[in-house]
Amino acid sequence: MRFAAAAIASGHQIDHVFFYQQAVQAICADIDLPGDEPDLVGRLVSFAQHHNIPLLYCATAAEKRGFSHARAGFTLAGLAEFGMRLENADRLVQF
Amino acid sequence: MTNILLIQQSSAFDGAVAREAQDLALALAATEHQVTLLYRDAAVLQLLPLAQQPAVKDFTLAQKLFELYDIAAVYVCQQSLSRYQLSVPQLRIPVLLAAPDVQQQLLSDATVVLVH
Repeated sequence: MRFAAAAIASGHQIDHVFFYQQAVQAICADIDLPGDEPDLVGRLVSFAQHHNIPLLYCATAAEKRGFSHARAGFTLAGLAEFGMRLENADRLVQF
Repeated sequence: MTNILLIQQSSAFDGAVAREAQDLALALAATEHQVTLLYRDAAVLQLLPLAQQPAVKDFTLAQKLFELYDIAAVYVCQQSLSRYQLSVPQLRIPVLLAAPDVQQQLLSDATVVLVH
């Protein structure tokens, strides 16, 4: 999220953020954090909504890990959609 | 069309990384991108035909579809292959050997590099 914020501050546009492989854990709606731990995913969702950045996740990768309920703010997508959206991007950054 | 270099670094059944990277490669090729694959480190083991059926689904069999999906080329790190004492004829599909200078060129030529 710090990278995304820096990219936007530098004048870049972010077409979307795609969650794949183990990163799909972020979409899990059933995570119950202790009160004294920051909700980093919540911050990311707020940030993305503020800047109108879709947060997409691979449905297959999520379902295979048992994450069937996505948290609000995440949108189900597939690898094909990721491939098609790549046409709109001049850069791709992987974390 | 984007020129994508997808680098595989994990062995076949070490978690889901290799399988999901292969799925991604096929999906990107199916959406008209030019996908080049580079297997290095333990990922070269993905290309070995299995002597016996594993307990899990053997996704590596789908490597035979690379040509059908118009995967531009499949490279294997020469040093990694040597480290595992393997040779090209032992592998399931035809591959190109990539010495360090070739790998450097692949990185330079790619618009997008994905590492798994």
